[in-house]
Amino acid sequence: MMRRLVLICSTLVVALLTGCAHPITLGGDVAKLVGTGGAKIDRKVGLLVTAEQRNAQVVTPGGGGDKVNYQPYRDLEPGLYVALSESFASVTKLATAADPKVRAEALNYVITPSIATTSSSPSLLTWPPTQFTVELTCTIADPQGKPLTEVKVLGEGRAEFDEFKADTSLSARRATDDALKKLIKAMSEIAAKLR
Amino acid sequence: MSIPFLLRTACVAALVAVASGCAMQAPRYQPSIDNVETLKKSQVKPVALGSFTVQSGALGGTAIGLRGSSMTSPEGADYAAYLAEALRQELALAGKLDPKSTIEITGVLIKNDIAAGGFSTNSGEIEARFIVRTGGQVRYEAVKRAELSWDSSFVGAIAIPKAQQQYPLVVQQLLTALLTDAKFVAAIQ
Repeated sequence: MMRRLVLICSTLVVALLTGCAHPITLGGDVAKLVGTGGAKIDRKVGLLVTAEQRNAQVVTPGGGGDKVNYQPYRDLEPGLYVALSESFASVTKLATAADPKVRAEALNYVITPSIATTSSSPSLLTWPPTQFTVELTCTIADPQGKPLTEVKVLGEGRAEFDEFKADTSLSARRATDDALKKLIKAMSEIAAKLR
Repeated sequence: MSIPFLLRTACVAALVAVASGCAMQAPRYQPSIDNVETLKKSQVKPVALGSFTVQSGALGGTAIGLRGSSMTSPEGADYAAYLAEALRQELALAGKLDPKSTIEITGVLIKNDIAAGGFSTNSGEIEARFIVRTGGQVRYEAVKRAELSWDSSFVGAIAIPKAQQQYPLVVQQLLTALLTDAKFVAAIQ
């Protein structure tokens, strides 16, 4: 009996002390983006996120020697769709660069996002990151795939223990919200070029 | 200090860390782009959203238990409000929401649960009755259900946040079941 207890306890201690990757989400508050854009650019765009990108797992540092993992493209895709809907007259989801919807829906541009993230925490005792950044680069190409321009924004999010104890993804979600707000603004700044 | 004492202390600390409950909220809903595009393509009229309530005694109506932790809705007082907000977001994004429409959708949450106790796999399920009325006349009434399972872990610090993050995906699936029902689409055309 004692042996079994020691084994169970040892397993628990090892499980708690071993650095592991905790799942978080980058999905922000998409509803808050609606209505934040200005005059829409009268162009139809396709948002290209491939299945491979959507399934890609990223691991970055958390606190206490632990790591966090997430799927940035899966988590940001709804927010990107909404942000682009705030900037352009119409947005269509594309599965591949050769998606027949590019021609069938007479899209003017194909927008391909690229996402880079960082995370960190000075805490020795808690694993959720206190600082998170999301760098979002959107390449805007013509329907044939020729790149025309690029928009790059950096979103930053911070969260302290009192805030993230009920939401371990908080700094990441704040970084996403910040990046998407900046994306809408950046699109409005290049509107003249895209009209 | 004796080794048995240290071991006992470590065990108690580990057990407390694993078993202690805390309060958390479900992530805010992220609209499903596929659902939004389904709505855009179908020739449906803009609709209004009516009341969404929790059926009396429904499992998980106001809180979902996750290994001793309790997860509440970030919208309103219960998960019926979460479901209404999820549908509202998808209708609004598709341009199919009009509070003045004579076509009204209401809902009753029947079941809402996540089984987060499994060491390798966990699952979530949700069930709701949706009713469409036009000018007060019921044109559609059906119970829709969605279930989702995912890889999980023995370690609560992995299993609990993972379960928390899966909840919006369970709701997305429920709305997919509704929005792809030909009878529902016909009722709001």
